[in-house]
Amino acid sequence: MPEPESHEALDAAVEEAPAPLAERRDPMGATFWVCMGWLGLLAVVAVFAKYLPLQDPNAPNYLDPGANAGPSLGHLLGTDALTRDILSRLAYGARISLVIGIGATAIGIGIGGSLGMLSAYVRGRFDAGVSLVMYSGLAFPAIIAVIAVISFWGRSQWHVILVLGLFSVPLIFRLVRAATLSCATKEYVTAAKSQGATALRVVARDIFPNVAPSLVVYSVFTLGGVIATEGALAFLGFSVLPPTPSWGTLIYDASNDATTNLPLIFAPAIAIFLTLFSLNYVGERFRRRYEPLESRL
Amino acid sequence: MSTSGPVAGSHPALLSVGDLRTSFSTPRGTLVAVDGVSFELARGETLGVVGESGSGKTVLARSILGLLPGARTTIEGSVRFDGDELVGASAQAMRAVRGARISMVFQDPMSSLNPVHRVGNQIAEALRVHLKVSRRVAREAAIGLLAQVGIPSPAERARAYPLQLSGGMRQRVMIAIALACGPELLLADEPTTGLDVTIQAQILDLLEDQRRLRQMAMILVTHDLGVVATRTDRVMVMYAGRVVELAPTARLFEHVRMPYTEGLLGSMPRLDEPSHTRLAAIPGRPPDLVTRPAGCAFSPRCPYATAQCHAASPPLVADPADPDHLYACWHPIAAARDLHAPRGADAR
Amino acid sequence: MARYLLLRLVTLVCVVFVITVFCFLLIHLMPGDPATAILQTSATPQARHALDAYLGLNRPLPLQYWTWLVNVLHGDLGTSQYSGLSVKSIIASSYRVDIELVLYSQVIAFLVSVPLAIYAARRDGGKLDQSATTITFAFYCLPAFILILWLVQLLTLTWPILPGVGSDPFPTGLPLWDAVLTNLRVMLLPSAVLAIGSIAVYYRLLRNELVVTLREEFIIVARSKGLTTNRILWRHALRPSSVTLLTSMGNNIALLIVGLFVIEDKMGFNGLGTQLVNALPNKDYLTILGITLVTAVTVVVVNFVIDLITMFVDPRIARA
Repeated sequence: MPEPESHEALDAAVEEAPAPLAERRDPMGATFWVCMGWLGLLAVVAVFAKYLPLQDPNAPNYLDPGANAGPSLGHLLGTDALTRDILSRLAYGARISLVIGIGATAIGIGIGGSLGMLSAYVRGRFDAGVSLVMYSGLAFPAIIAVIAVISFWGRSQWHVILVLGLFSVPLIFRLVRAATLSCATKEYVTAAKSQGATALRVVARDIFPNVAPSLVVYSVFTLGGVIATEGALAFLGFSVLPPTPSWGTLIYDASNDATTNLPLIFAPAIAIFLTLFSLNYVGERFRRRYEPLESRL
Repeated sequence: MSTSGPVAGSHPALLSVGDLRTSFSTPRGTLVAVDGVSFELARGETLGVVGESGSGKTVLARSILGLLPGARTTIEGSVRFDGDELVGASAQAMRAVRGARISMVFQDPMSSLNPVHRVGNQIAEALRVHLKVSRRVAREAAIGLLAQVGIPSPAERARAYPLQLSGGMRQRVMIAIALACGPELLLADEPTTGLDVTIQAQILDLLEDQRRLRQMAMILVTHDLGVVATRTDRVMVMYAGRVVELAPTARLFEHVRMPYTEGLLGSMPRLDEPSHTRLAAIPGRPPDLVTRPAGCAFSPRCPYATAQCHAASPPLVADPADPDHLYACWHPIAAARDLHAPRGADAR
Repeated sequence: MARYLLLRLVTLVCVVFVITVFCFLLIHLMPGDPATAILQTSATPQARHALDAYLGLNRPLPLQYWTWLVNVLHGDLGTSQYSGLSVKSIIASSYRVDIELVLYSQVIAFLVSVPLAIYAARRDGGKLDQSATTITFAFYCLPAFILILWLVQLLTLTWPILPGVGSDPFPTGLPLWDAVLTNLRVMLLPSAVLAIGSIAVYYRLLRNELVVTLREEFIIVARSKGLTTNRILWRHALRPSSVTLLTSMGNNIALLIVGLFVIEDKMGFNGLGTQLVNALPNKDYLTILGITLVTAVTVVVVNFVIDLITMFVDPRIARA
């Protein structure tokens, strides 16, 4: 007898019983730790790439084993069309992704977060003005600016970080502002204000600690988004200069040069997938743990 | 099985509840919210169901209509409505009954009305679904119903959204929805809790008027004995999921038998007492419905409890002197209560 | 209610204005100049000056912007000094593809995510819910540019059931019915890929809101009226739960543009993305401005329409 589950009466009945329900402490789960493991591995590889027993990602191996060679002992994922070792390119690509990702996220959270909190707290014309600019930023076809900057100021890592970072500011601003708004109307803030605390002090001591868990969650999601965007940009040819490998570039190579090189086709894609999956999953778990009263945003 | 019933034999009872048992499976165990409740309701009769939170009165009302969430709920026993068995009936059969033959008025009108639908449409919907009338006819009938429940400018109001109406008006809309298809039985679950005191009387009067007009039976669920005193034919007192006293209203108030009911009466403020008279609250708290100790459920809080009370649970029996009055107590209160005596003068 | 609408409208107009200013500044802050791009090797200083003067590029910036703005308000987006074609015609011929892709992808997204969310929320925690959540989540983590590659390979080359790269979605010379069919066939794959990200987001938002809504009292009331489960789900639970979904739509569509340009490229469509990629290195600033303007206005209009729909869906928004 299909009927929509409605727990109201059940809750009422259960609540009426005076004894407390056992508290369910959600363990983070196996998947969570697997994801953290992958992210940890990624971080280690990215940081210590130079010290790991990897080939030079740009060095050709013309004679041995040649182009598009399958996996072998010396080259665990084989080589690409230009006879470069795929595994090491993948590893160094991880470095690019993480550096760009973390850099851009830091800019986004730093600027978007602080402006969001400040704007929501101060309100008035400042808030209206900044919100308008941010809204424009959201509606602005960011890809145009990205391509423009990359085309004209050069394809360097820092330019990519800067542009991606700036364009993640509006969304974070909006989210943080909303979170702060719901915080700022609470009574402990009014209490602090009534005791003569300066705006900065209230923001730092009362608002920030309450918004911080959300910031962590947003950071994780933004990181995922930046890595995905960087992948797409690299694929289009608008990220770092070759021969520096980025996962997106590897996918481009796979699509253009070597349509039968299976490791090249799948490895970077799987790497991106695992990374995005891990970041999103971890972010979601954090959110459920620390933001039980998710705002009706 | 209850042997009460106003006039057994002359009219068959409209609603006949037999040993109804509603339980939920929770992480802590099985919670029995309604534990073997039986009673009958004649056509046109008003039954008041009284009890504290946790007594099972709301669950009882919802069990009758089968409105409880599915997977974790078990309903056993029998609910016969005009001869048809409702427990275990098919979804289709239940849908035909709900809203058309048995309707319910809920407690909080703000959360009971869909915030995104106009109130006129919410009434009209019931008509279109059950009576299969056209949109236009339903809309006009809805306006008529709004007028009947005492809402001024009904044609205008029909186009309003719930948030645009006051609490009292929303509850009237709720009642209009319940009455739309002319049900034979109305379940009113705390219809006035949460409303302004001044509005409460109006709503209760409205219910009574409509009931009389339409010859409906009504079950009025409330925790407020004052509500029940003048507006019901019989009163059923529930505690911990069981019926502990059931009698025609006047008799209940005149001669309380069960100590719990006495406690409830005693805890009501009275107009003829000097102000600041202390209210006699019943000490203790309602029992845990998952782990039920043997013995009378009320015994831990009962001032007259004996060893027998703690050991075995008293059955619901009829007063030999007055067969319409049922109670479940090993030591029912003997003397009739003098309604006009000051508190504390009750002799045992 | 009118006040609310007016306020939104004014905001959106301001936003378009700000965006065009942004864009204008951006172009002029970029190194390199149109004259050099046009003249290429014959870019002597005198030639450049002359061309600059001819194109009006040596006037002060605000004046240039103002001229452009006035022209736009008269419907003139200028002429691409690089290709000689009017910017309007360049945009008009490329715009169709993008509009269609976005439109189709959102239609697909809704057709999939709404019923899925409804039936998953109905038994939340159940099999449908768990598998739908996992699958949409997984697809979300596979970026569009990878998916399009694989699917193009799979569905147009390995098993040629769909038209391949370079097909024209707007074939000329065919009877209407055939043209429409061809259009749908060509657009199916790219729209579906583009829809995936949206499906994941919309499904999750809607499902979560529905689970909460289904616990509300008015749902039980609806059941007490004897309504069928489907009616309750679709006519009573869906509307109050739709607001977060609608709110996210505007932003989602704006973000869709990145994927859009990638897909354009990979499917061989001649859309705004392709035009942009050509215009940028050439500093074809009028075209760049024109494309930015059109994109921004589209996003803004879409947002406004979504606001209207939201107001209609949930009357609490404008009247509370």
